[in-house]
Amino acid sequence: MLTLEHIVKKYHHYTALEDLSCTVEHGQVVGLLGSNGAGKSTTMNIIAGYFSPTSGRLLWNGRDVRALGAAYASEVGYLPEVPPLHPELTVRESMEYTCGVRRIRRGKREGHIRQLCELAGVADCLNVTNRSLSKGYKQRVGLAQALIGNPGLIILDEPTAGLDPEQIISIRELIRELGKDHAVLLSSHILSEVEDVCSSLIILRKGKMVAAGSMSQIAASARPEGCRIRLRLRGEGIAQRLAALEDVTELHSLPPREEGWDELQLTARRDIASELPGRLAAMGAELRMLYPQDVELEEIFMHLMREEG
Amino acid sequence: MFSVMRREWRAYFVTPVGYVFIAIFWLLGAAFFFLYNILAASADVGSLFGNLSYLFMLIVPLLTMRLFSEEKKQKTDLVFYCSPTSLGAVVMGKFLAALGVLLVALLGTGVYLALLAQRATLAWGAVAANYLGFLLLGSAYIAVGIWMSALTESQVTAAVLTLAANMLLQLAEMSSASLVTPFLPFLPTLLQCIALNQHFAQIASGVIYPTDLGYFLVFVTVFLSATAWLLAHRKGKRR
Repeated sequence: MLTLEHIVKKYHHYTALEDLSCTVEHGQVVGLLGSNGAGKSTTMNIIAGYFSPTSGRLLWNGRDVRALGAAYASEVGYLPEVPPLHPELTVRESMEYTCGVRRIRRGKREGHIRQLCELAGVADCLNVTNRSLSKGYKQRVGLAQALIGNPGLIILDEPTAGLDPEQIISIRELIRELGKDHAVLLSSHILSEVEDVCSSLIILRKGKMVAAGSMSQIAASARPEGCRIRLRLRGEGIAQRLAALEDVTELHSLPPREEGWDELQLTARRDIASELPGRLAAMGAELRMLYPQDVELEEIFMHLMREEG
Repeated sequence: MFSVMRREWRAYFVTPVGYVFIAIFWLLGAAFFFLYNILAASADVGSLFGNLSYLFMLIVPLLTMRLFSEEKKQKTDLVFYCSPTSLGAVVMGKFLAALGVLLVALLGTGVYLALLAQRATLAWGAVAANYLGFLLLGSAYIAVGIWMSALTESQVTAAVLTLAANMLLQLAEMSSASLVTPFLPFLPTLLQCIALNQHFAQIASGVIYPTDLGYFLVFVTVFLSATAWLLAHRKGKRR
């Protein structure tokens, strides 16, 4: 488990990260979200050991990473936004070089490289130079490189950038698999990807953590009073009567999905989903469909960004 | 360390850098050989080696300019920064790779000596001493070049800085005689002490003192350690 304790990163008078404390546990894929300049890459670079924090501590399984030194470096695999590939080397040479600096035994390298390249889908271009690779392939080689030595903590900065839809699906599947027995920290601008892959989130804004926890925890804190219900119904003046209900705070009319039926989205102060059919029946409405809607990550994210702004 | 060395060695020869360095050294070496030994019908290799030592000063920046500056620019330095390999081992790996190329270039000059040996008797002891001197002088230039390369992202800047530093180390010897001043009476002695060529000339003459060997050892260690320190320091400051 990785623990960040009061991490601060300053560059002269500019504070890139301010008092960041959070944890990334084994068997978890944690999403790191934030707009540009929020401090995501700085956080990842600090965790990976590429930057040193100005103050604060990083603990790996309860031990300070400064004391662990090389042992911690062996436990971290990092794919930055731009994969660190030497253009003049072939994929195989890049992997061999990284195996070397990550102190993988010579006898184990060949099998390990082949296994990782197959996993990342680059086994067919082992003898191609990095400069000849497409952006998507570079990203995949970078991912294979990050997995060298089977690190316990995997840091992925925009891992699906530049990939085609098929590759995106396979990489997401791979991340989910890795998340089962590794600690994975994932940064992405694609909120649906984060929602799809991550079990918990850390949201940063201007170097400060504005939310952390599971999707449901963050959704609850972002909209603590709320419950959203989608309805498909019909009845004379039913929308006005629903809007007049005491607990209802918002009511939106949505484009109809079925002819002759109205589509509504209702937001209430408390969960009224179970009592709504009875109330609607009393109003003389005919109900075809009712389901409580989860708050979407995009909405939470925008809410947090607005709130802090 | 050996992985870094292998990668750098390969980088020298998949790009033209290694070939250009060796070609310049061999071609100009051949020109000096032709001028000082063939045309002058002389078996004295002192002039040949003396000129090669200046050539070293001029072309070693070719070998060292990209070692760290390119990694920094391409952000491939992340691979070793985020690895269990120590920065000292990374610096050493790069140093050994550059020294390897220099050694190849140096050994190529053996052809001139072999040609000379067919017509004249060579003082092989002096030749060996010259080669040892070259190796030490080259190591010192490379160590300076590596440090300069770690200072900047620009290969050209690194090369120019290395050249300037190497020339200053040469000038130190030349200017020691003209800088006699009552205010700094120790200055000429100090300049003579730090002048690379002074120590190289001593070794090349065949009189090998431990102080001269120690000078090169300390010189190289200081610059390589300074490079490792600079890299570690930059990690804390990096944006």
